[in-house]
Amino acid sequence: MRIEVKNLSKVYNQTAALKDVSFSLTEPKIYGLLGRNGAGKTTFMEILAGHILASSGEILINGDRPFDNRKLTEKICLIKEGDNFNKDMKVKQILRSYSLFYATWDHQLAMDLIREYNLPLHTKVKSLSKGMASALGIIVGLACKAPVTIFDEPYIGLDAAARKKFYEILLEEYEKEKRTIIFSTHLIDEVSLLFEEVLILQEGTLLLQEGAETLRHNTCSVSGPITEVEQFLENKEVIKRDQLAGMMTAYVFGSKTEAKQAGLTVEGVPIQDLMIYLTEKKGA
Amino acid sequence: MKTKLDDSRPIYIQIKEFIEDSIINETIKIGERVPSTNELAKFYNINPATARQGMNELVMDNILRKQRGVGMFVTEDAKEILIGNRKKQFYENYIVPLQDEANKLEITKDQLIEMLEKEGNMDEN
Amino acid sequence: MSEQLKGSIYYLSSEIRYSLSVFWSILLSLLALSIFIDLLFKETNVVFTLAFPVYIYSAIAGQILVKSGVPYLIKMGSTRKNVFISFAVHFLGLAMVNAIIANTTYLIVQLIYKVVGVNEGTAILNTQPPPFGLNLFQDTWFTRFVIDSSICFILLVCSFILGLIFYRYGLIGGFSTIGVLLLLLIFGISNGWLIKLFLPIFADFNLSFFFQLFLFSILLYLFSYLLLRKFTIKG
Repeated sequence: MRIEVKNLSKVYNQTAALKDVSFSLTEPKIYGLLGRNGAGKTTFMEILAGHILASSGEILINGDRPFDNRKLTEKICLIKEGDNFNKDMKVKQILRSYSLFYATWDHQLAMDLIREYNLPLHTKVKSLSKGMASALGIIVGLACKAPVTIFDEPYIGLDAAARKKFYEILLEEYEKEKRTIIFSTHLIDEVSLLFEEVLILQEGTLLLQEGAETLRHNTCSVSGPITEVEQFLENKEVIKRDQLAGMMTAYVFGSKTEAKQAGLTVEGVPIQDLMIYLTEKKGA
Repeated sequence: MKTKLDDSRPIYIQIKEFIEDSIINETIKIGERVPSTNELAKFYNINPATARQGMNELVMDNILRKQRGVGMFVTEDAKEILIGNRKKQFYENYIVPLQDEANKLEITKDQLIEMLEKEGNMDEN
Repeated sequence: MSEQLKGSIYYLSSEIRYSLSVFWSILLSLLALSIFIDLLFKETNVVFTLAFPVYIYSAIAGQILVKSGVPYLIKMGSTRKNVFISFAVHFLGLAMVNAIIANTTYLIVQLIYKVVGVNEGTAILNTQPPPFGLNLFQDTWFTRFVIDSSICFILLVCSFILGLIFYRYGLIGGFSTIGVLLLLLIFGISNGWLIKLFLPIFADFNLSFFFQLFLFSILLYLFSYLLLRKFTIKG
């Protein structure tokens, strides 16, 4: 499924959640969609899934718009943080409803996951704990096997063990059948190893879209005496500078080998930190 | 063997290192099958594409050999090639930092040699 | 289309099961209580109407379903056209089911009273409020069924449309609509033209009125498509 975002904008009550964003997700991959709260991630995902309309611009999936488009909406599944399901319905009924809507629904997988997470089939959603309700969300997201599966911070209340299980199963299923998975999360450290491509949104604009490995390769933190560091930083894109007692640590897009040769102490930058520094203060 | 990979360095490089280390210390012997990309991805909870990238580079470096439908195997020359490469990097990675640190601490070359011989003596005991 | 339709119907009927069972359990228990009191105290005549509660249920259900049904159907990938059609089917089914339960209960109670042989004159149940007097046409299960179904259906449709207006345009939009309608009503009555419009209908009152009412409901329901077309999930 080829996803093209063209000049996408969305305005809510005078605030722009998305400002003229353009990018493409061309292949089935695991994409990490990162950014601070209010960056526009959820808005983007809702427009992609056809839940809401853009103010201007468009998203095209295989050339068509997803809003009210059965061909597309039955291939897209969006699981959000909460309010995914009618609270008065039983778990069993929700699974059955979804199985009728998604041709790719895997009933066996759903049952296996229900057992893994110990979800009571005949209980209403409103009687489930927060963790169990989230578990139901990710179970549905996984069992749908939709060609475009979107997870928008789906793990409120899920403990670390449950999350780990989720990542494992996600990887397993992804390996069996590649699809486009878009993952938005605040727990970046846990999931960053899964990403193939990373997109960072900031206040409605796209800051960065890059392969995960490329990012790990081309970003580093260099430390050393201020003058030496500054010399190295010339003509490079600097992300952030920190100073203490005549020493400076800078986070920069650059080659680690080059930095080592310049005699500086070099380390990699975890993607989570990268996100934090890049989105720290994007003023004019 | 690391239990968790480092997010700040390219994953495929860490995968390569893991396999290379295993070959050098003979945890995986010549001619043996190495873990598949799927097994690696599952163990480290990483994207299989990155695991694959690392393995493919090892194939290009002639460390691994791909046998279709069966898996990837360690080549005959693998250990030699790796040790050769490591030796070349030994100077850069170990000697130079050693000298730098020694200089910082004002340790003379003679004192360094004494220390090295001390290590050797302890081995003999 | 049919898979989506199947899915929506399944979803909607599963969802309504709970509120329906609660509603009828309470209503039937109250009925049983009333019958008990009526039989116990020969002097008192207890009158119980099933119709009104059912009408009120219909008037409320349509509204509630906007929030509890439409967004989740869309989240599952339903097209708005499918929502439109499945709700029509759902409302029809709901209206008929309620009408069937109500009128069959009436039949059963009448039977009980016959068997017990008590106070023939004490017809404890009125299934319709006075205006639709049973003396205008045959009082059979079928006629009552038609009457109740059509009234429930139009109530469901109206509350659904009202619910959609509230959802889309908020409290201001919803209450303004109600205000406008009320004004029209008052204006129409005081002016007389509303009465002139409806008088011929009631003058020649027979069962066909309710079939016409049903057709009118369908027309009204078509209007809801305008509101559904660009339905977006809020919050």
